Amino acid sequence: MNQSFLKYKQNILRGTSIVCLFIIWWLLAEVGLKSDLLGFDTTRWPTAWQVIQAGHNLLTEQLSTMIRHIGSSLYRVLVGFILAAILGVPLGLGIGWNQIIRDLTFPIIEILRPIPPLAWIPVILIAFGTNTTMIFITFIGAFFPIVLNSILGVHSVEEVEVRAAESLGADGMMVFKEVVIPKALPSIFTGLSVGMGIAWISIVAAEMIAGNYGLGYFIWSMYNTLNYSQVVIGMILLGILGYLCSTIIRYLGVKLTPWTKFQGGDK
Amino acid sequence: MIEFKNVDKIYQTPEGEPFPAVKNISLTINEGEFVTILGPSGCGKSTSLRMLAGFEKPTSGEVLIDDSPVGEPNSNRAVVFQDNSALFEWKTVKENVMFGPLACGKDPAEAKEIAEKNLALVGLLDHLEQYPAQLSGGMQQRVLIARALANNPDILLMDEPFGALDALTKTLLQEKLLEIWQESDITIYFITHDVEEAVFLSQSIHVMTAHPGSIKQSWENNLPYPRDLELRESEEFRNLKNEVLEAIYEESVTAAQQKIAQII
Repeated sequence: MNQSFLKYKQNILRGTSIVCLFIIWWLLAEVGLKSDLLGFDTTRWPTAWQVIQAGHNLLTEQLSTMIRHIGSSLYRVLVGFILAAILGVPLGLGIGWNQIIRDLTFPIIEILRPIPPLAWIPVILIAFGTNTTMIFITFIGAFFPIVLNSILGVHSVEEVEVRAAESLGADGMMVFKEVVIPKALPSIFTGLSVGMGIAWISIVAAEMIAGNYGLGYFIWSMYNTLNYSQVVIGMILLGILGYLCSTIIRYLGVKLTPWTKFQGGDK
Repeated sequence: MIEFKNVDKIYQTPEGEPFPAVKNISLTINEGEFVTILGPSGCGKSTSLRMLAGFEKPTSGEVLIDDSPVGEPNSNRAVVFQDNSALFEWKTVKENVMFGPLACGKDPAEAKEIAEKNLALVGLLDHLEQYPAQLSGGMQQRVLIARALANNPDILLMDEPFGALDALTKTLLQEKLLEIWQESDITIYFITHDVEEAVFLSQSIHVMTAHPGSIKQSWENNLPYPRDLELRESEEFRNLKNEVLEAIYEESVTAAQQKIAQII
């Protein structure tokens, strides 16, 4: 079978998959699954058409409010995430490479790590107020995966690589800069990408609970005012933003670790 | 001059038991000499190299270079490792070879020049900008050699550098290595389990006993350089090879028995 036919077949299958999603949506919203006994009714869901209309409305009549919601969420995620990266990557590298740093900081991390980000909301809220709380929640969500993957990255450094560097005349600093950091980089980017995902999860939930702006808050307040089409718009916007953010991270990862695309394949 | 004087190396097993890796090695290597160390697997060949490189200290005895004990690893003693995971996978071929000169304080332009010179020596000028993962096993091994030579070391330590290569690539690299050695005054400490390789390359051959390793027997190899494929067919070559083979065969049997005893 030739290449273009396979490609064609693949596109057909993928297109079918998306069409199926819309058909299932339409069936659930229009025809519906209902049971009084079990207490569910999917006809309360908006149809795709209602969602498109709502989207049009929001974009034309409430554009500035929407921009503010999007902007708040994006700002909180990015500030929290960047702080987590700035602190988490060096800390993870330090913990992975240096016994003293590890003994000093790892116990704290291990105690705090199992606490879900959202459980922090009340204690941060009483001391710092809403906006800082939102940033802190995304920070804490992104921080741990970034630290842990940075540590793992350092642990992927093999003894023979350090030996090689030493016998080529490298001192400790050069080993760290030229061997440990680049070797850890792919794993660091895995951490950044996971951290970005968790930052978004955390911000939506946090805004639902305690926000006064942002897409999580928007979804929740639309739900409370029975504007279900708007809820779906919020979901779609979150999907797009999350996708964009992880695409940027992936792009940076590929740019900064060009060697990884040759690995794992046939030599 | 390199001297091993009654060197013992005893490791600790995870259970805390002492595990003697090498026992009472005494060995003298002259400046500029090409020495091969042969032995059954697990006999402590690599341990001897690690002590010479400075990665590990002997438990007792001394490893001396020009009468002073071996210290921390340094650029006078370059190591060509057994497997290509010693290459810096995140650096291009050229950057890998530049690493040593840069570590020794050369400026980037000079390091680049040195790298290119050494890569030309092993025939890799066409691959400067590639990453190790893009190269074949034989090419990766050549990068390792070029990288080790870039610091102009006095001693080259090679730990089964051609062990994983196909026969043809191996032969080509052996000849290349001899060429490089003859044009320099470098001392080569070469570990292998391939008797033919040892006889082809070196001036003296030392066979180690099965674990714990000590020197069982040594040969001067007076076959004339430059050595080539024809030499491998000669009678002197085959005689020496057979003698060495016999010695190593006995030790391999002992090593195999030890392994079986361990399993039982």
